[in-house]
Amino acid sequence: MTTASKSALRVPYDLRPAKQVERRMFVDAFQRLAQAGFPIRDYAYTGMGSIFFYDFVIFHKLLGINKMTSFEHDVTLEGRLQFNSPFKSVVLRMQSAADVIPTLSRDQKHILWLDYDSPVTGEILNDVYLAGSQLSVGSVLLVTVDVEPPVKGSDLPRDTETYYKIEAGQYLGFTEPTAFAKRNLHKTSRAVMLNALKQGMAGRTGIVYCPLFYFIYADGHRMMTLGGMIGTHVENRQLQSLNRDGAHYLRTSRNPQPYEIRVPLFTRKERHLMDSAMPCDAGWQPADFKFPEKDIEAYRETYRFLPAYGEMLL
Amino acid sequence: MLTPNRIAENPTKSFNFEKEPIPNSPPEGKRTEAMVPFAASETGEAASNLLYGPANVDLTYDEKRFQISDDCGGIALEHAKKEVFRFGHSKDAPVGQLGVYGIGLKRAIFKLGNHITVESRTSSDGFRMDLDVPSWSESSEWTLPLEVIAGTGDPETAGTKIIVESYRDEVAARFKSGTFAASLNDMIARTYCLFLNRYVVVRVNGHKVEPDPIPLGSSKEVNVAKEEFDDHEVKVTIYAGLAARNAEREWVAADAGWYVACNGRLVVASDRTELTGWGAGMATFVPKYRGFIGMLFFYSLNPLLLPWTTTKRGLNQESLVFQRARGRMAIIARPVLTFLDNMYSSSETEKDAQREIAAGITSQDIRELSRAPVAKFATAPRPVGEPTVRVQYDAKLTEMDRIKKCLGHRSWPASKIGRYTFQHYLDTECPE
Repeated sequence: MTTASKSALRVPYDLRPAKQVERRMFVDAFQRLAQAGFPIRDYAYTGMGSIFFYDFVIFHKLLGINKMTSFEHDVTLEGRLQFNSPFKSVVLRMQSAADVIPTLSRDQKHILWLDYDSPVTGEILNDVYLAGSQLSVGSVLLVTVDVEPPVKGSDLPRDTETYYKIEAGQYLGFTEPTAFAKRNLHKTSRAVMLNALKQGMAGRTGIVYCPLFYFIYADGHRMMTLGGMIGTHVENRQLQSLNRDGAHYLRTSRNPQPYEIRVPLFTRKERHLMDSAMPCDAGWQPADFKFPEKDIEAYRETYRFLPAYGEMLL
Repeated sequence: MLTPNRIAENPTKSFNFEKEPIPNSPPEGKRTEAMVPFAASETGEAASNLLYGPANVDLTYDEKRFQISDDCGGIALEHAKKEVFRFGHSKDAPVGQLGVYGIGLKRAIFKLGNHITVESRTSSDGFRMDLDVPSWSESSEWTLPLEVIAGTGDPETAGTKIIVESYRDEVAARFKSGTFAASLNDMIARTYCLFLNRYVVVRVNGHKVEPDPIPLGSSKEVNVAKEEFDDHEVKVTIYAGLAARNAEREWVAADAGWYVACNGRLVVASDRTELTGWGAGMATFVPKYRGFIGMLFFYSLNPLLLPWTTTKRGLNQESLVFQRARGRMAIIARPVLTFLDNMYSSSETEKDAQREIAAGITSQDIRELSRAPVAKFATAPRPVGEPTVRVQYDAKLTEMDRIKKCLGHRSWPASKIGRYTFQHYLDTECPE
């Protein structure tokens, strides 16, 4: 079997709890969008399903989305993708994002998730540009990238800066001296991607990007997802009426702090105990022992979205 | 004797509200070339109704005298008095589709030399203006002397003639330059490639200027992608596809890229820079994309809405309609670039399937393209080819050089020489 370099075959996707929390938060957010009047069920979902297609499964089952397309550039995976495709309604395209995006219909609203496993590159920025140009009003764009220092073997800011100057070029703009420190790469990556998106949207009068998501998390590598809706003032107004009760993860302001997805480590028994107290008050602790406060806080924010894993012996 | 008329040379107030300030004067070739569209634009509508064939514009020049004349119907006396010889246009000037700011012709003439004669006759009336610029500049008069003359009586011979003598020093030097003739010819050939020989014939010193065509092509197996949209009275049409091969069955990088026209006048030719999105939305241009041709047309009855600069020699990048078009350009170009990505392996050898598709492409006339429906770029699926075997061997550099010299193709890569010699032996020694 040819070994592809994609993380699809290096990282077991279904055991990435933070990634799963992110997916579940997207589902929660899209349910709120549906409540606010967006016809999510009729949206077309286009994503990089990998061989696991987990996002397709939950978007189809929990949101009712039927129009689905999964694309994959590595043609050697075609056989496995066909085999693992979860539903007949999933269309498989062995093409890159740059080839798929121009074919997305302008008469259809989309959820497009560009879920990369590498740091920002010039190609990724071109894809984001194309999305900004092509996606119809009301569509949601999600982009995920790796935000570790991009140069192998070095996390020196000057090496990172050289990389970004080459890859991001004109999208880099004015940068602060600390922009290329490891802890700030999520912000810098987000900034260049937003510039590429704005450039793609340029000239589309009356169209704005309405931010919704800004996640950072780390199952292994540190990742960042930005996401939002391409809309007019009409969609913008509709988004103001989103029910935000319990949706601490939403990031709708212009320059927000990211929402960090932290998955605390609890045993199955401990989770059952904690669930019975959720949603707990601030400062709550079990009667007989103490958990770290930060972990309880993280659990309170994410318990509705946390996956539970089990082993089946077949 | 005819009484001289005077034109009130008061700059019209509307001129102050034009979008851009007057740039520094363009170089000489562009000034001369600027005079051609005046003739073409004035005849634009007339040309389409002409029963007599294309209009004619003749430029003649030498080291002392420059003349441009046309048979495009002439300038009516009233129009000359009220519009042509004012700076800027008045608000109720009829909207012409190439003229925009009303200063191009005047700027061109006044910058060329110190003695200007303009003579124009319609079939019914005419005028002559004979101006010595230094004397006129020193006088306090803001009027231009105009002599009324008779019309031609025959629309076929009606037209305009402009003569400039007593060149300014820098203009004289430029006319003497050894490269001026070629660069003037090239600029006219390129800028008016869509008009030349169809609507207007331009001659420079008696030599007809042939259009420099845009080699966008198609075949039974590959189409030209087309998209169009309207943006506030501007119609935008975008084409993208592959170039027809040249006589040597090659694509030439110098012809590749984006061509942008406003009301038919080319303002950008074979652009491969960020201006048209290369490296910003589209991949950066590299030699394997030399088969790419894109065309972007802006058309509007109101030329002020078009995204060109005051000199009409460039694009106004801030224009919203251009920014919107740029996003669409990247989208429409993508499948063409993917075809070219797939065509070239890392060794720069063209893959057979794509090479055969490319070989069948012939140039398309823009008028046919404009009638075609909107479509995405597509190539017809090809049947799976015969099995192939890779031929690889080392060859002495001296021997390779001998073959290149013999063939007369020193720039061909070794892989192409190998392919050529293989095919040559196959065709000559092993006919089917």
